[in-house]
Amino acid sequence: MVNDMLCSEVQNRLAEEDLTAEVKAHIAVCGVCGEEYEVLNAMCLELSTLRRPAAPAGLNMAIIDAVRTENARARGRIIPISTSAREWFTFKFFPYAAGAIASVIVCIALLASLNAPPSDLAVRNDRTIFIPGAPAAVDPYALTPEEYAKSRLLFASESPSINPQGAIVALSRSLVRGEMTDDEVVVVADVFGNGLAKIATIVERPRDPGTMAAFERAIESGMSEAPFVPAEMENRPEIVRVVFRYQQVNVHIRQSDRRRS
Amino acid sequence: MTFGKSLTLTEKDLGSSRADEVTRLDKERPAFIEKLRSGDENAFEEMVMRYSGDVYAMLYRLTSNSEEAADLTQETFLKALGAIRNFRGDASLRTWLFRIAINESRNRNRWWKRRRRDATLSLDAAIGNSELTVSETISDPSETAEDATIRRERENALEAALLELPEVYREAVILRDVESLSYEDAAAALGTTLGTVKSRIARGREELKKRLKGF
Ligand SMILES: [Zn+2]
Repeated sequence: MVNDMLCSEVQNRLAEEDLTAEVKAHIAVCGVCGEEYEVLNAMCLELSTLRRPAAPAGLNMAIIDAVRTENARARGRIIPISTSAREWFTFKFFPYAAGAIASVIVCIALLASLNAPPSDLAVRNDRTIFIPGAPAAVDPYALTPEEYAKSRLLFASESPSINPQGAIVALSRSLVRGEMTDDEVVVVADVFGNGLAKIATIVERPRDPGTMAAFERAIESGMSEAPFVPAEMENRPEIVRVVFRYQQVNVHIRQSDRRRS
Repeated sequence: MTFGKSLTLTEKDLGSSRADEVTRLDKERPAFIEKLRSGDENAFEEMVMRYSGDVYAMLYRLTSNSEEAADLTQETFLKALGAIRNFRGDASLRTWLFRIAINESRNRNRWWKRRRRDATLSLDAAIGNSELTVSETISDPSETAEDATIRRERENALEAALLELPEVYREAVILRDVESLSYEDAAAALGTTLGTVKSRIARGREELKKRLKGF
C-alpha cells in the first residue's frame, strides 16, 4: 500500500542524498516514484564514470615553466621594465597589456624514437610554444604564419606568435639536428609590428656561449626570416615587450603515452 | 529507452574513489604540506605533477574548452604559488586547488561576458581529447558494438546536458557527482555552506534529469 506522501512531494526530494524514512518507505512501495529514483541513481553513477578529459601533452611542463619564471621574477632575477617605459607601455596598450609582461616560451621537445604524430604539432598552451624536434612524418614547419597566428588569436595581445617559418624556428631545427643538451636563455625583448625584435636585456645566459650568439642572431634577424608574425595578423600592439625564455629540453616519450595522444 | 537502462557497473566495480585516495595521501604527508608552505620549489612542482590533471579535468567540465581549461589550470597554479604560504590544511590540497580554479573560471567568465565574447568559449566544445572511461577499462565481454555506441551517445547527451545547467548547479554537480568530492569538500571548494551546496546539488540533478528525459 502506498503511504500518505504525495508522489509529487516525494519526487521533489529524490535528488537529495539523505532521504527521510518517509520518502524511503514511499519509494519502496510506489512503482512510479521507485522508477524515478532508479533513473536518478543511474544518472549519478554515470556522472561518476564519465570519460575523463586528458590534459594536453606538455601542460605540466608549461605550468612548471610559468612557476619557475614567476619564482625568478620574485627573486628579482628578471629585470623589470624601466619606469618611463612602463608608463608609456601602460598608456599605449591599456587595457590589453596593463600590469602584465607578455612572455614567450619556446621549448624544443626532442622526441625520442618514433616520428611525431601530426597531433603533437598543435600542442600549445597559450604562451608556450612547443616545437617537436624529431623527424616527423608530416613536416611540422609547413604551417603558415597566418594559420599559426589564427590559432592563437586569444593570446596574441599577451604574447606575440612566433613565425613558424622564421629564424627562431629555424634555429630550433638546427639545434635538434646537432647534439643537444638541456639549456636555457632568458631575455627581455621588444617585438615590433613588422615581426622583427630587439633584445633589451639578457636575463639568463645559456651554458654554451655558441648558443647565445646563435640565439641573438635568430631573434634579431632581418625581414626575410622575421622571428615573429606581423602585428596585423593577430591584432597585437605595435610594440610588445616580452620576457622571452628559450629552453631546450630532451623529452622522452614512452610508447604507451604516444599511442594515447 | 530509459536513461541508464543498459548500465551494468556497480560501485564495487569502480573501487575506492580517486578523491579519497588523494585526500589520504595529503593527510599522510604533513611534511609535504610543510615543505609547500615554506616555499620549497621542488615540492610545488610535485604538487603540479600530482594535481594538474585533476584540476584540468574539472575545468574542462566547467568550460568545455580545452585551451581555456589548460590556460585556467596554469593560472590556478600561479595563484596557488602566491597563496600556498597561507594554506592551512583545513581542506585537502586538491579541494583547495579546486576552489582557486573555480574562482579563476568565474572571474574569466565575467570578463568574457563583459567583452561580449562568450560565444567563443564553446567553440571547441565537441573536441577535447579523452582518455578511456572507467567503464571502458573494465572490459565487459558481453557488450556489443551497438551497446557501446548507445553508451557513448548517452555520455555525450549527459555532457551536453551538464553544460546547459546554470553555472552554480553545474559547479555543484561536477564537484559532487563527477569528481566525487564529499559534501563538505564541495562546500569548501565553492566557498559556501553545507546547506547551500546540498540544495544546489539536488536542484542540479533534477534539472539534469529533466534535460535527459526522452533520451
Ligand atoms: Zn509515488
